[in-house]
Amino acid sequence: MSEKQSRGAGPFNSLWWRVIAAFALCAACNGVVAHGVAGADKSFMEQASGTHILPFIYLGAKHMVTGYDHLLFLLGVIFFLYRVREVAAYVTLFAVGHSVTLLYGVLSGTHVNAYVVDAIIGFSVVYKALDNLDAFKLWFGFQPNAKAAVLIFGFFHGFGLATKLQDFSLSQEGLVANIVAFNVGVEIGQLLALAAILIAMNYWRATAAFKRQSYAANVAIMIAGFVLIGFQLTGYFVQGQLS
Amino acid sequence: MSAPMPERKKLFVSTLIAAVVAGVILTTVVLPAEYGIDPTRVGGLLGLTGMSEGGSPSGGSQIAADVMHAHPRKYFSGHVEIHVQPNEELEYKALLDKGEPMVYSWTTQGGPVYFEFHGEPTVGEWPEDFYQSYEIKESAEAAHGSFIAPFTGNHGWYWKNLSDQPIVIVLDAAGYYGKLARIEMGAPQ
Repeated sequence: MSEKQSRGAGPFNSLWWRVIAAFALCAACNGVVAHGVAGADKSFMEQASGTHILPFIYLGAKHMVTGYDHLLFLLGVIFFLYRVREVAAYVTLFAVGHSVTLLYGVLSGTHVNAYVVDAIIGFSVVYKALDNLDAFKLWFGFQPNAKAAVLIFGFFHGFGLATKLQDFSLSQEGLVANIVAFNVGVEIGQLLALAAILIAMNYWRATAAFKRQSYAANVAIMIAGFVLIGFQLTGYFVQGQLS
Repeated sequence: MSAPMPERKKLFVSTLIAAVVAGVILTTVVLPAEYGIDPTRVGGLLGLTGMSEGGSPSGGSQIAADVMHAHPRKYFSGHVEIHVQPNEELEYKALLDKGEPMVYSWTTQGGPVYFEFHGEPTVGEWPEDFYQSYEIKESAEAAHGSFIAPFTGNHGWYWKNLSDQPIVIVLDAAGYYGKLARIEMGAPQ
């Protein structure tokens, strides 16, 4: 009832107000949302009809900044990248990868199972941690192309982002612009998160203990990746097969 | 860097440990909290099971607890026609435990009444002559609604016939009240 009434154009009913409310809600909860978008955002997205560039940019950025699966992968990717040019190259590949499948997935209406995709995202975290520990060279005697891996896993992360948007019945009106805006927001969020990660990494790398701790850190990232895989696969078998 | 063999083995052991630690975290913390799956019962000891019930498709019970509560007996219902003399006043109330519901509907035949829907606690520590007013109307010929008792006590209506004719108030009520009866004016309940 209140939802219908609040579709009016008054200043307190505007979409912006919802975005501010969503932000306040997020600040109030300690919430990191791994498997979906928070409730207030969901109601916003489902009621948003027409083009809403900035709100969707905000939501994309928020999803990235609070999405620990993407952030863990990103941390793994840049863990041993010291030069700005290299960081830029890898992050660009990741951005290209997930943008392609995010746009393709939503616009073509391709539905992939969210739990399966999120389990693969968990696997990407494990893969990158193992890669950082030289596992492929040590175990199999060859080094898979790291850039190709980031691009390919980027595709899966993009499908993961697409499933989050497809949870909602998005209005067809202004869909393309809204998805592109969401995508732009994802990149902004990624850059913000990346900046924070790089600053922290630089302090850490400057310490004498970094070399010793980096091994344990990648094992810890691997643990987190395994937990994500188990969490999502269990979800698939418990409640996700129908979707 | 040391020789490749120990390095390989070390990494293999590390990966195995990572998988085992992840398995322990999953089975003791994540699965109990997220899905209510608790194979080791550690999740239950940590108070993590049941967290997932609110949002998950399988977890309707939290919502159910908010919107319904089952009762061991059938509700009571009553239909009374109360004859009221000109300028006469009376009270008719239902004895309800805290949280128990009642739906009601009354109409007058012959003229309007002044009424106050209110409740008086019967148990617990309350100030002397305390009562809680829910609705007052100077002149009305009907009222319908639903009610959930905010405290255990007698909840109902004070009516006063405003006309100079005798009238009839027809009251229908149903709910989990103990009794529905006319209260003698002046006699504390």
